[in-house]
Amino acid sequence: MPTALHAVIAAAGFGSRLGRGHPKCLLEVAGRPILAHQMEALASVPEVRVVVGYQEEAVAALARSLRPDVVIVRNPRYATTTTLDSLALATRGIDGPCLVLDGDLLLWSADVEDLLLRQVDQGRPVVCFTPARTADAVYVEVRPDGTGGLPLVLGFDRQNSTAWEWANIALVPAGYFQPGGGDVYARLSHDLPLAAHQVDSWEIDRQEDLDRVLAHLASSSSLATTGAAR
Amino acid sequence: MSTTVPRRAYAFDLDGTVTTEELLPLVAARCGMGTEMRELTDATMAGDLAFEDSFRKRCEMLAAVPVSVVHDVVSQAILDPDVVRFIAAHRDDCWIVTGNLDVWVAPLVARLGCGLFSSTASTHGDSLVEVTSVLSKDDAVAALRRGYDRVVAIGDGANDVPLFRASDVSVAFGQVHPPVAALVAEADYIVYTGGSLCRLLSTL
Repeated sequence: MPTALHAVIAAAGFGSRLGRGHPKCLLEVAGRPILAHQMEALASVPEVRVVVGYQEEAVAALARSLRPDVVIVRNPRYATTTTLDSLALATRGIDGPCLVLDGDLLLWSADVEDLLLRQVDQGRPVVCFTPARTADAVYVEVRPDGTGGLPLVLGFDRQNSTAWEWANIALVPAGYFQPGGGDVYARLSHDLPLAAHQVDSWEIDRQEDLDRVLAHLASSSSLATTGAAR
Repeated sequence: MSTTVPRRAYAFDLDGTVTTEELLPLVAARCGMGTEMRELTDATMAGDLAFEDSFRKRCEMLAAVPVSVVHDVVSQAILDPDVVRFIAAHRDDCWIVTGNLDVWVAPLVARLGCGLFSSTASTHGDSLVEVTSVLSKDDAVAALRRGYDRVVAIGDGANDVPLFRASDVSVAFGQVHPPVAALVAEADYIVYTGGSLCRLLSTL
């Protein structure tokens, strides 16, 4: 029985560093928009909410075509608010754990299903980490938990690189995000050490991130390969 | 800090929200005025015509139709089953807020079992005499605020803009047609199926 009945994709932002002039969730990777890959990965989640802002009509239309029961959450103040504000808006009223993720990353359903089996204890989130590879990575210090073998995130660091980065995917308890700006990882930092979950995800902030994931997909045996990098 | 749950009213537009079809075009089609009515209705929903003028015009077109015939047509309109179920489960807190006429829609709303704010008309026997008031949806919300802490609005057309502006939370419902852009601009959420609408409403 999965923990989370809701997933929220934060897709309201500009994606200015990629400089394409449209939201990154619409970017085509291996012939389909990133949002299509995400919806496929989230197919088993009973409710998916997509937060829209920049070019909201196009993003909402695509989301609806991929999944008619999608809930579109509008963030008209997207230009002056952060991802955390989008997530606060979208998770308002949800009374259980929620899977939250940025709208500019690739992830696969096997990781989603594994993550949804994790317990969200007592108001504490589960954060996802992936091998460090993006140009603007937020690195994480990861340590295997001595008792159960499950890893912990001990800290986030933009400066000092480690082997792992914050994947911008997390399982959070009800009411975790409140409006007020700031980075999602800064909010998570209040609850260190954090239960952590390794995934194979690819965030696309810059052209070099896109080039890297295209090369990876080209060299993988098929798009259906999941968890191959573990 | 209060720990009581806020009392919520759910204010539903009728045509195209609770019903899967606009009602006046259905009546007009039964009486051979389908095309003209459809054009007028579409233009109004898109916000190209002011609601009150358009509505009075449409009522004039249908004034000669016996009220009993209108009831018969309206009773056959297909309703969204999930919305009907939600209203049945929350009868005391659900309200239809429609610019449509009380004399035409009252039997349908009575079957839904919830409250009604509507435009009004006078009748003589089985005939419509005249439209006596056209509802301003924000007036309905002002009335609801007297008994509720929070008003949640659900609608699909341009005439729901005042409803959305006056309410605390607004959901644009795109089941029958994509919700009108002017309405989306006032909405907090957009949904496209009855099931996802009702699941969302239970969290608001």
